[in-house]
Amino acid sequence: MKYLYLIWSLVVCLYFVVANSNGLILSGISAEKETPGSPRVHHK
Amino acid sequence: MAGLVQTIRCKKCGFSISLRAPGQTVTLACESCGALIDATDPEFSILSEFEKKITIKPAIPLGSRGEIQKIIWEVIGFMQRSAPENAYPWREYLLFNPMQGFRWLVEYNGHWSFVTTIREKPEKAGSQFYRLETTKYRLFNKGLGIVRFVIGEFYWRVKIGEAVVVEDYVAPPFVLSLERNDQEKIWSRGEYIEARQVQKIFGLSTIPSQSGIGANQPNKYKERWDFVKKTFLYFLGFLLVMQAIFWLSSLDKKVLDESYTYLASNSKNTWITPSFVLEKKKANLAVTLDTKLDNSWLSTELLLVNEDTQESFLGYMEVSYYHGYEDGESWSEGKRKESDFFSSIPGGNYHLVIVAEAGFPEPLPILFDKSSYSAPFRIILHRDRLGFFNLFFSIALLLPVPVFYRFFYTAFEKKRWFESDYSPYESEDDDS
Repeated sequence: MKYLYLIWSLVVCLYFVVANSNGLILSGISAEKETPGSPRVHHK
Repeated sequence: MAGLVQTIRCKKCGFSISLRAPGQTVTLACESCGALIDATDPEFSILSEFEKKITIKPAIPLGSRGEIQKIIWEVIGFMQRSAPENAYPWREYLLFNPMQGFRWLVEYNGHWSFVTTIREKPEKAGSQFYRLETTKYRLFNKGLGIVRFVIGEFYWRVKIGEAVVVEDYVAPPFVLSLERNDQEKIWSRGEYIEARQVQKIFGLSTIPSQSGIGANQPNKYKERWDFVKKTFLYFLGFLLVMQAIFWLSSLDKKVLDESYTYLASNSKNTWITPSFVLEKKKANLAVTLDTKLDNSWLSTELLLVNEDTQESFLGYMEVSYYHGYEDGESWSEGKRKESDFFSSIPGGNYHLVIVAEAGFPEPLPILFDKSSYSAPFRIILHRDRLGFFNLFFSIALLLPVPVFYRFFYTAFEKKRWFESDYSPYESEDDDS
């Protein structure tokens, strides 16, 4: 069990590094990805 | 060891008694009638007679031998002591080895300790603490210990009813005991020994059943709690260091700062911002919505459009601020300014399409003209601003296991100290 925690901690720290390196924020405003060609993107 | 055993006859009952430590034994208690015999007297005269019929049978018979810490010990004496009114009785087995001298096996509630008398005097380390070598011991129990029953041999002039003040200080698996009377102070140090180990060592068919937690019983969660605590602290340190590194290396560059006004009279409140460049391959985009709202709300739909790829990201932000005065107290709810993030946005040239909606003030002022209502707001974008969400989220993912083990570790300790008048947990419980 305790070694599982060690592995879990490594995974969490890896997530932290990868997330911060890529600007990933799970709590961010709901950034729904729109596909190119969607009517919204042609407002301009 | 067997060659040294001498046999004598009890002058009271005629029982044949083995003298296993001749020359060192001062008092001998007859296993049959309980009479105390002067072992230093060549005539083995009776010191006192035991007035009650013997009813206590030692769990380890006298004469039993067993190996503890690589030394063979023989049980030569047994006594039961208790607090006044025969409360909390505990049993002590005197062990003997001709080369090593005497040791004790002490049993209370089925919990055993292997005890050695020590010469060094522990150092006082606070009102309820003593220190021996590097270990700090905490007061667990203090009271009178009265000899109730003895059989076998003892290296001092033991007497039924003899009372000493006993103080026990614990640092599991160790216990430091001080026994004192007007004449002397004797310190001893015990180490917890598992009951099944005692049973195996002396080849016993049964052993007194255990109840509760022993004063110096090792906490079964300690090893795991220590490991988990250490692991958590290491990784917490790593996260904090990495957070500082990310903070130092983040751009936090303002890429847009524009003001717009929502007009209720407009059929559509839509704006397209000027183009802006987002640096870095991938990073977040912090959005701040700053308003002058007064008892109303403003909601925005934000479409972030990559002009190079036509890929777009849709998000929503809402700001509301209400305040008032009720029951003699002023109150407020919400904020006029909110910040949030677009997550993981690739670099490139972008613009933002904003669609806003707003609510009228509540309660509606008298003679309020809905058609002229306006809600100005400002939108500010920062590229690659370090937030705290990932840090707190990661800590939250790491925390449950330490909390779980801490809970069980503490529950075990509380159960141990429940038996004590000096519990460090008592004041906490009283407060709750």
